[in-house]
Amino acid sequence: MSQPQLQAGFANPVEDSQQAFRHLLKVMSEPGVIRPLAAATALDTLTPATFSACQTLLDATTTLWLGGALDTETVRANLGFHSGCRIVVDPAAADFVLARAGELPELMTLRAGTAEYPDRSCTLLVQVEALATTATEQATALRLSGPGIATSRQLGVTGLDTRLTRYLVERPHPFPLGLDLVLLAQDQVAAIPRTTRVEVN
Amino acid sequence: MTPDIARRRHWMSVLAQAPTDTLLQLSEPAIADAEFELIRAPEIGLVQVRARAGGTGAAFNLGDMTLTRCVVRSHFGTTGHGQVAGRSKPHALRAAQLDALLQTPQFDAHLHQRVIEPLERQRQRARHTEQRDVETTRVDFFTLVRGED
Repeated sequence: MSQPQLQAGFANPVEDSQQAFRHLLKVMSEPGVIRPLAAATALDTLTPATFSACQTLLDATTTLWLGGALDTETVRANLGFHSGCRIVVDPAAADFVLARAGELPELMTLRAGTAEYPDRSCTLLVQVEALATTATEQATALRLSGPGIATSRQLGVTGLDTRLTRYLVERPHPFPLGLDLVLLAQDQVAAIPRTTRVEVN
Repeated sequence: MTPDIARRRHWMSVLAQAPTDTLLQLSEPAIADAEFELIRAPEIGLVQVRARAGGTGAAFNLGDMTLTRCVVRSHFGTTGHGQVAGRSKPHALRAAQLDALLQTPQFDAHLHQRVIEPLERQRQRARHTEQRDVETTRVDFFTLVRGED
C-alpha cells in the first residue's frame, strides 16, 4: 500500500460545499470583494481556499488541467477521490485550469467559449500568495470597474505575474468570449470575471 | 489477479453481504483498540448498475441501486473502503474499518478467524437453505432442449 495518502475533505460535504459555493458566487458577482474560504484543510501544495474551491466546483463531469508545482501525486489522488474530475493533459480541453500565476498555460489556447455558448469557456483557478483591499509592498494593485462594482474597487494581489496581468488589462478575447479568473489565497477568495475592466495602479 | 487482490475482494464481498447486526456484533471486540480517521464519512447515494446481455453482449443500464460508501484510515496508515448495498451507515463504516485492519499483518489472521470466517459460513448456510427451498419447487419439463445450452 504505497499509494499517495488520501486526506479528509469537507467535514460536512453538503453544507460546506453549499457555503463555499455561496462565497464563490458572491466574489464572482461583485468582482474585487474578498471572502473567507477555508472549510477544508490544506492539501499538500494546495491552500485551504484552493482545496475548498476544488471540492465545490469540480465533479465527474468537469475536466481539470493541473500545472506546475501544484501538480503532485497527492493532489491528483485526492482531487480524483473527492471530486471524481478528469485530469487532462491538453489545457485546451480543460473546463478548469489550476495553477500558480507563473505556471499557467498559454492563455490564448484555452477554451474561451463560442459566440452561441460563451459559457463553454475555461475558468482559471489561480493560487496566489495573498489578497488585500489596500495596496501593499509586493502586491500588484488592480483597480476594477464594471458590472457588480458601483464606481471602482481596489484589489491588491501578491503572486500575480506580468503575463496574467497583461491578459486582464488587455482582454484579447472579444466579449462575450473570455476567461473568468478566481484568485485563491491561503484562506480567502476573490474573482475577476470577464466583464470586469482592470487597470494597474 | 494477484492473490492479495483476490483475498481482499473476498473479504470485502463477505463484509458487504453480511447481515448488519451480525457484522457489528462479531467485529465489536476485535476493533475496540483500533483508531480510525474518517476520510469520507458514510454517505448514501445512487449507483447505476450496468450489465451485459448473457454476460457477453452489449452493455446496457440495468437500473439504479442505493449504495452507502465510506472510507477510513486506520492508525496503521492503511486505507479501508466500504461499499454496501442499502442505506445502513453503520454497516458501511464498519466494513471500511475492517477492510483497513485486514490489510495489516497484526489484525489479518485474528479478524479472519473471528469475523470473516463465521460470516462466510453463515452466508454459505443461508445460500444452501435457499437453494434447498427453491429446489423443491423445481419442475422438469420433458422436452429435448431446455434452452440452457
